[in-house]
Amino acid sequence: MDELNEAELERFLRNIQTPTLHFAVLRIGNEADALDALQDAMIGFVKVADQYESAAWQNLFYKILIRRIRDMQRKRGWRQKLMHIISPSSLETDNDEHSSNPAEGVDREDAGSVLHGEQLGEAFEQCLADLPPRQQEAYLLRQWQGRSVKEAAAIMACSEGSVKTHLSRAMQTLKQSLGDWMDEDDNEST
Amino acid sequence: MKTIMKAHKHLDQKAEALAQKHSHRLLQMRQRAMEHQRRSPWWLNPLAMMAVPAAAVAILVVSLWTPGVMLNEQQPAQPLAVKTPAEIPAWVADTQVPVEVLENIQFYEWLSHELKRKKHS
Repeated sequence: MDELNEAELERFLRNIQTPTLHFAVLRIGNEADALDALQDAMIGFVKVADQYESAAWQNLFYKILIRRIRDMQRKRGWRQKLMHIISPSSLETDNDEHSSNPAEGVDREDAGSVLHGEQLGEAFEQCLADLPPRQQEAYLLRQWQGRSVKEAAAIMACSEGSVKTHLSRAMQTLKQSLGDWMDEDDNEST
Repeated sequence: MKTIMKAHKHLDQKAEALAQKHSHRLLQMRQRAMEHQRRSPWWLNPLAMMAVPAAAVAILVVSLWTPGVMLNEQQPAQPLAVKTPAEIPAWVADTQVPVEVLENIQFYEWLSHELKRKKHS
């Protein structure tokens, strides 16, 4: 690769590092692991980048990153299963940590009055973190990153229909979790 | 502003804050990635360029040499030296028996002689 392309590649990595780092943190829930996943993705990306047009780099980068994150979570899942086998008492603790209802992470009593600005963001992030991985990916790519359904499908390596299904379920869960506050806010803004 | 827009704005701000927090690490990560990109493939390494043909020649030599050795090992034992016409009994010489049969006869003669010798000793 010549120097021009190398500079272009460096610039691309600098631009994409900010949204992708947060994407990885939201998906993994841990900054250290997210940084590791991002590093792996960067290395994996630069090895194949010259085979693609620069216009396709963003989707390619997300695709590689998602693959790294899934690998990481698969390994972590196996580690957790092993830990549960070794010490069954830890199962109870973990279930308590991962609440099945995302809304439980938010104090509903206070939420109505204070879920604005920073706190709303934190509550939203908590609900997002509690979504299943595919729904998280679909939401973040489609709604936050503004990718098309086709692009999201290519990144997630699934059909466009699957993206729509995951997205619709994610929206439904988020609405259930934050719905009351969202409606209030919408009414205020209109 | 709708709640969802606020939430997305929060995500953007958080992303910026995270990038700021880990700016040094991100710089290192980029540099490391670019180093990987600059590193030429192993087959373009001068050492590898010499090692690959050398290994190919070595494999060729071994592959050619090994069947030769195996063939030599599998070759049947050399037949016993054929006796001179003077040593061949007259009754054998008169017959039209093929040479192979004669050689076999000579072999069995030699074998019985050896067995007898061993018995005596």
